[in-house]
Amino acid sequence: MSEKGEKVNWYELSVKLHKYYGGKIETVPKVPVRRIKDFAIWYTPGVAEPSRLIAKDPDLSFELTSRWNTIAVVSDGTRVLGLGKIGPEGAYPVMEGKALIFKFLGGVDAIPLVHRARDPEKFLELLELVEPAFGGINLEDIESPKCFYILEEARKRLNIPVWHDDQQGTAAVTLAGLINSFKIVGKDMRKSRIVIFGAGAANLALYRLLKAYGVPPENLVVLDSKGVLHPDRQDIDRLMISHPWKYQVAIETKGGGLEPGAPVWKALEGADALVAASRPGPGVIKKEWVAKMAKDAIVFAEANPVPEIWPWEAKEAGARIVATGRSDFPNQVNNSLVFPGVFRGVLDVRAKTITDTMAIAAAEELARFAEERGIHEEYILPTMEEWEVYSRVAAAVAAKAVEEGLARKTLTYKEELERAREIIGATRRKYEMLWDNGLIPKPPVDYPQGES
Amino acid sequence: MYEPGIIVRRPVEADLGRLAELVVRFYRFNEEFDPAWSVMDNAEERARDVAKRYIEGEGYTLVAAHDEELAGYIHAYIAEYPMLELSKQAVIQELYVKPQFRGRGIATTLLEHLISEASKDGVKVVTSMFPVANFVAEKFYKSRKFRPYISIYLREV
Repeated sequence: MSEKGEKVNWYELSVKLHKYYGGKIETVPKVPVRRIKDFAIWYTPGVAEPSRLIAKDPDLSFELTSRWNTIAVVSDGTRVLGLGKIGPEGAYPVMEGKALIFKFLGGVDAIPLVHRARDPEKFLELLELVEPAFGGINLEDIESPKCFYILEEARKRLNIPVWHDDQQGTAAVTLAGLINSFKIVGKDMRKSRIVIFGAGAANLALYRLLKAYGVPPENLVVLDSKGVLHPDRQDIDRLMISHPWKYQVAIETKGGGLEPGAPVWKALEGADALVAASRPGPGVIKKEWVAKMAKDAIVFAEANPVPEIWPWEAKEAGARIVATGRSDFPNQVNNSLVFPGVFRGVLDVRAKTITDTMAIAAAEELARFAEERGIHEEYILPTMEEWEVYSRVAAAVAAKAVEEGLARKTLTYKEELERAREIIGATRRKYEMLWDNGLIPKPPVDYPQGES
Repeated sequence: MYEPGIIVRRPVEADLGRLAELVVRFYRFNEEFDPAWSVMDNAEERARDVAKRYIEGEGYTLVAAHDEELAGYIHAYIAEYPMLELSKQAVIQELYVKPQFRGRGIATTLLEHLISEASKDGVKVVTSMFPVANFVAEKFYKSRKFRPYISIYLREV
């Protein structure tokens, strides 16, 4: 929403249009039905044979059914957007929106699956029980720290790829932005000091990715709402029990070499980059703190709808590159750049899982894509309109899965690039056809043209 | 496990502040598992008295020292049961290792040193007390050949 765009009441418009269209997605058949007799192929009696074959070899479900391209967008509604615990029904429009993006940008058929299993074990049981219906699982909007446990366990227990977008998606696009930012300022990220402000799903996943990318943990400082995660912090033993992920960060980073209880400004002193994914600003990150950072500081303030610090404030304080989660400022850190391509890629090679190194491959590909177009302070990441980016991410992730021996089907980067282009292109053509033919009715109310 | 740079020894006067800090940490840790282990507001102050008694030789106390720092400690007292064949028992009351030193076998080293010292004094049995819900301690002792022994029930009056 731009300053200008605030004239548009998106909330009101959204309710009207959700009501008008009755939600956002539907299933559309893709096989010929020329006459009723055709159902003898697609349904009984013919369908018995594909069923028999699959019963003998369940893997055939990926060839004889739509499973190969179908994922579930799963949420218990415990941490939805900035709305908190609004329950599964409340989460439904968000999951449906995600499904729309999955289809539109990645050609992936995604089904919203909101449920009442808040208990982590029940949640996991549910995933195990519905696994036969899907080729992948996208976890969404689950409270922390439960989300870490569920992702870790689901990755172990399920034989299909499981991804928690609030962790890996956001972390991967952030990493991509950091890779290019460090290139622009001419520093080696692996030798730089990076402060991670906020210890929720996205930032703890970023910590994991940075470590896997080769940044030594001691170069990282992670702060939660109580301050620097430090082995000598008062509540450290409590964290070991209640939040082992934060505990591990405290031990591995050694609190970034700071004194226990060091204030935020001290953590930022001389730091090369700051990644904030905490709570909506402004004023959560103070100008004075950014001013303490090293020359050519990189500041990512990812809270929505208002970043922890306004971009112009960060710049005034000396930041050279600023990124936010918003589309009306340059450098939008948007996980929609990642998840459609990631799933396109893993589904096409039938990957068994999505590793952190595959997420890094997605980040590197995003960074490369932007770099090929010429990166600068106000263009560190591709924008969502650059359609080719989704196939590129798909190809990079698929190739990585093959390289790591996690793919059941072998495709080269080039082959997957072609395939992803085809699938995503076909989806868009079908969509345009529905729109051009009035099968998707024109919206009765709209926002002014030219607004984004 | 051999840990270079770690020395197990009895605490000395100079350890007072650092030992007191570990004592408080031990109780705060167990507080997580049972409200009956809630520590007092002035726990830090009291911990200094406790640490002082340990340094003066109350029961068995050993510290794991790493340069100037204390990585952890163990404390046990002697319980006598004159009617039992295993009449002299060492009861481990406290065992704590700082987070940054965990996973290196320091707690095991402290335990083994304590057992060896106590057995020289005729101790036949070593026991340990911790909150029922403390799964960390349970796992630690069980994997070091301890078994459940006494049940203690509590009623606040």
